[in-house]
Amino acid sequence: MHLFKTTALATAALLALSGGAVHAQSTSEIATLKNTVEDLRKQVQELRSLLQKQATPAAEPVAQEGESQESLDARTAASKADIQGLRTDLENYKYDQSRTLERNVPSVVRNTRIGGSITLGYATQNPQTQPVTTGTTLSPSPAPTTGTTNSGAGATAPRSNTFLGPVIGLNFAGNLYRDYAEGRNLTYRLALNGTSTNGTTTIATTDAYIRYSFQPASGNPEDPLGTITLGQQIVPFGQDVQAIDPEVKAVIGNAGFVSGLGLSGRQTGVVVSGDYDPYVDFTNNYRAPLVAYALGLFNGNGANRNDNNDYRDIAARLVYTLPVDYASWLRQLQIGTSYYRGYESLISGSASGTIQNTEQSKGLNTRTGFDINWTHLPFSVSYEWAYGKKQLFAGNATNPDGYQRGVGQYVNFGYTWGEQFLNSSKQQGKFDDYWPKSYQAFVRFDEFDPNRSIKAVADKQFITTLGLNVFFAETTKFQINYLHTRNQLGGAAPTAAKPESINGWQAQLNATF
Amino acid sequence: MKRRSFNATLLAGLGAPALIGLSGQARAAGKPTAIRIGFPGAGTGGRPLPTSGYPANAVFRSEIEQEFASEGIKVEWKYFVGAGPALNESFANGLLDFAFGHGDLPLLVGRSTGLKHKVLMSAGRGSDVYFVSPANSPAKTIADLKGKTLSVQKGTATQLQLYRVLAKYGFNDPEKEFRIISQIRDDQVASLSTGDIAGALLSPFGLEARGVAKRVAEIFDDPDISAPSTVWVGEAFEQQYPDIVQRVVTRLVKVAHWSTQEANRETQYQLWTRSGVNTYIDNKKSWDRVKDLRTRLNPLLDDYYVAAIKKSIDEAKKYRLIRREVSLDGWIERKYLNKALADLKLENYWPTQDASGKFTRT
Repeated sequence: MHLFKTTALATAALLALSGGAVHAQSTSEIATLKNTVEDLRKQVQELRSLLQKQATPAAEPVAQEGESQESLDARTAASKADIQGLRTDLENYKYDQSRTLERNVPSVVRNTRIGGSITLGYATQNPQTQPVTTGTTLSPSPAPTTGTTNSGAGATAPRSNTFLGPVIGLNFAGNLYRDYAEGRNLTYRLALNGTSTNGTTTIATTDAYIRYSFQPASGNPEDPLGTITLGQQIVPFGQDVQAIDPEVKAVIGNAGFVSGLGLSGRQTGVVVSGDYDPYVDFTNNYRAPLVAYALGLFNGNGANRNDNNDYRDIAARLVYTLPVDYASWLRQLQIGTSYYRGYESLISGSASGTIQNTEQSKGLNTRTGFDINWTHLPFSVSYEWAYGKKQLFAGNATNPDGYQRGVGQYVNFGYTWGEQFLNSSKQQGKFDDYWPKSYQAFVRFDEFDPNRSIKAVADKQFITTLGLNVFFAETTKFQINYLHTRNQLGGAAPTAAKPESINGWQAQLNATF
Repeated sequence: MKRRSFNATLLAGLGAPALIGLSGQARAAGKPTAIRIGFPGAGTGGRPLPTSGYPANAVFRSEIEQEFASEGIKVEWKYFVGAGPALNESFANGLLDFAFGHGDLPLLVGRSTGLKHKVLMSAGRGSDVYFVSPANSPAKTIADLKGKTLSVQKGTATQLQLYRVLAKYGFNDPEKEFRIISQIRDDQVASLSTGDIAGALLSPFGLEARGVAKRVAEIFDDPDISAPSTVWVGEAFEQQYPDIVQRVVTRLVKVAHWSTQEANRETQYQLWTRSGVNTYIDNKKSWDRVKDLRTRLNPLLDDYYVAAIKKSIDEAKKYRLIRREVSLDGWIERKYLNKALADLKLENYWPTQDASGKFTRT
């Protein structure tokens, strides 16, 4: 505007000056003045059109020949209304998120991961399971009236099949302190297990521990790992002992020696574990520690109990993994050895007047194990042997030296179809609920002799298991096992309670969330 | 990486890698029922989408599907969140036929341990490399970070790239001069926020906008820093279906040519946002600087490609990331690319670079 006024004023001044002086000017000077006026007129025109453009909104750019929509969009300016609309959408989104977090999302004090499992099963047996007629008196609940049978957990009549009572699990895990720089994290795990017994569900704590990484867990595969775990936990012995939860068991039933040698439960104590000198193949960040170790100190009195004496149990385990590349046929060949030593409070059962909860002598109980495992998809082979020597209160006819020696072993051969056990397959980017379906067939030969004394001739058991595991969703597997059990009779005649052989099917669906 | 004489003795007798097919890939006499192609990465949140480059464009434009649709050959795309190492695991178990955009380190580590594939084309070269530190870090240059903790996802091409960046600033033994930990991208960002790491190679734009990080160094299209990525095919597949391989390569060259057209630049910026890894603005900032798209979206196996791979092999040995020699003999298979370029009359289309990365033909 200022320029316009200045130009107009200059024009007027020129005209005024030229009016009086025109008669005194030459022809050339008049022409010069006319040219100047013409220039000024053009400037005024340009200024007018400039002002008009500013007042008029910019027209939408037109697509040039062959130009893509994306290129056209790149040349198109966004209007204030476009931006306001986007901002409104964003504010709505923020509000929705905030309300959802406030109302519909449970909150926790610390980082927590909740998980659980449901295990359902069905079992058949031939010959049938017989009712218990001797030994512990059942306590029926509710008390039976005349004519009804006991509604307890065991069979009250010969039984050939049953749906198994559900087993449930609930667990919480997370970190109490996360060390972003060093990875010396403090984590915890609390797990509850519910089993169906006698018309009710018995809830028990399984894992309840805190774990500290004293070696940095900084994600470097070349660095050794090391943790201290304090609380109730699985005993680091062998392979099958550590697979006692249904979520991780490849075979529905554990090997005979697990319960036979008293290794089936958790213990309360402290375990230092870790590895040393890991071999890393960067082909796929495959990591094979040369030696893995675990050393534990436990109460020895089982889960969910204080210790009943001053004797602590010791557990130790060493595993050697062959340091070879991922592509090697010998990948994941592991050799392990385990040792467990503890003392039990022994009580004579026959001494009259003896207070039952007072120790009368101390009994040494040791278990030694050896295991080999080779898993090279699709093949897997594992062998485990365990030996236990348990001091008795006193020698007896079967064990005159006062020690009961038990031994068990199994070998398992497996073949897998599918990608269940490959991290690369499980972690693929997918839109849908993708999970690589896999099938795992196996056969296991298992034997357990609870008392190797030559005088104990009718206690050994041989179990052959044929099985198929189907992994059909991320956290769900179906297992079916056929078992052929052979009892050592020692020359005695088979009975209904102890037949020479038992055949049975077990089917189990395990869903983890 | 430690050597053990026991290991060496064992390896001497072990021979071929165990390439056992876990999922039976049906092979008809003349053609496969499916072609399985892997990308060493996925979108945010595990989205099954590639990020950028001309192989990614082949996915977004369904080029490979169109090539084989009439014969009913299915194309299976696999996106590995575990990046190059995960892609190696999948191939080692017989679950892949092709890889699009495999980084140099996992590629040559895999070859050193016996994975058998043939290099077909370069999947791209050059890039923007940014070294970022926490926003409140007093560091002005990488030299200020000596002795501090840096983060990289180990086993991936970024690990070698980080070592090269550190070498550029005078640090030739990075594992001794820094503490380098392995983290995935999400953990790196978290660690930058808390200040628990001093630096990482990350795209800075979103981090700067949130006030989490700042750039300490930026390097653009340095041929000594960024190594080309690779398109390869498994040897077994190549021997059984050479015609299929040729068609895949020819199609990819067509896509590469389309990708280098200036008229398609904006379209690509939009396509590359679909994975969620880079925003449109990030793509513009990274790529608007590239005046000639052929310099990055380049499929050639020229002197620069070969020299870059050899250099990567030397670096991997120097940093003890591989234990054996890696031979290029019989590994780079040029015939498919040469035929594709001849058929499409693109023999002289792309610029070539010499061993040092200098352009010899533009």
